[in-house]
Amino acid sequence: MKKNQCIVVPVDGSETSIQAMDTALELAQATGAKIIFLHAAYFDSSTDDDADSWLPEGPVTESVGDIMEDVRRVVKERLPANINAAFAERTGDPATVIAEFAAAEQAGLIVIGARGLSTVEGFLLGSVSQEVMETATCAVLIIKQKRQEEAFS
Amino acid sequence: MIKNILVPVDGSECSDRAVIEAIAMAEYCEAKLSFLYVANINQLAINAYLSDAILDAVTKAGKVILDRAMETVPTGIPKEAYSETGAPAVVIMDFVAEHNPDMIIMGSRGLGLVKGVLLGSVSQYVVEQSKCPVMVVK
Repeated sequence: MKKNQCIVVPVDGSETSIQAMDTALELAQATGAKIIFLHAAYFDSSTDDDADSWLPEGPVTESVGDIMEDVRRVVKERLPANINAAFAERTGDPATVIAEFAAAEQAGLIVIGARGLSTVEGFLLGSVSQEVMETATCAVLIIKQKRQEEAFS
Repeated sequence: MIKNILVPVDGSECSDRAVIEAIAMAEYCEAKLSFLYVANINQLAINAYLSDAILDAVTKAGKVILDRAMETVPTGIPKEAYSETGAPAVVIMDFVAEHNPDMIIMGSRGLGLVKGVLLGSVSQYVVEQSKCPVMVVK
């Protein structure tokens, strides 16, 4: 990763995506790189309106806006003043969207968590990080979920 | 903080790029680099079939790869080279268990036994098994 390249951090509100965020912040502080937090999902608030949602209850009904708000809040809490951060939201197949976004931004690195929330989302996210690893043209840093006992130590 | 970076190398182009990424990372984080070359030979095959001459050749090839990686590192960055024999994925994870690196940086595809296929699966295996962050370099 060169100094002027940015780091793309795909976020979904999961624990590992927060860990990915922390690692990315650490790297950005060391390198001076800009971070772009990207939320990529199949659905957004326009495809899943609260009033007439056609999607089943669960993680998929959480709109992009909610997750990005959480991300913004967490980033604000932890972001050192000297780091440049941006936020982006994209709708579509997450792995494709992430790889294309990183290519378009000429990112030097993608920092991505390897597992998400539920079984379904975990499965989906597992395959997302896998797919990103395969399709991305830049380096991909995979952050693994810490084991329970380590997470609390 | 990232203080110990493990860089498994195999002499492939992707592995060379991983070395460059790792050096940049080590500079940023003031971390130590450990290069690991795993000669993909089955120990039993060595005992049973392989002559010392072949073993020497393989070891030399590994030394060349490790030396090249070590030479790329600018002075001031702590570095070490390790050469092992066995199945790369397994040996890498054994090394990780023993040395506890904070990050692993490796190429996504190398020149393994069945070119590409096997080493593709090495990085895959390491990503799956490792508890520490793994950077896969294209």
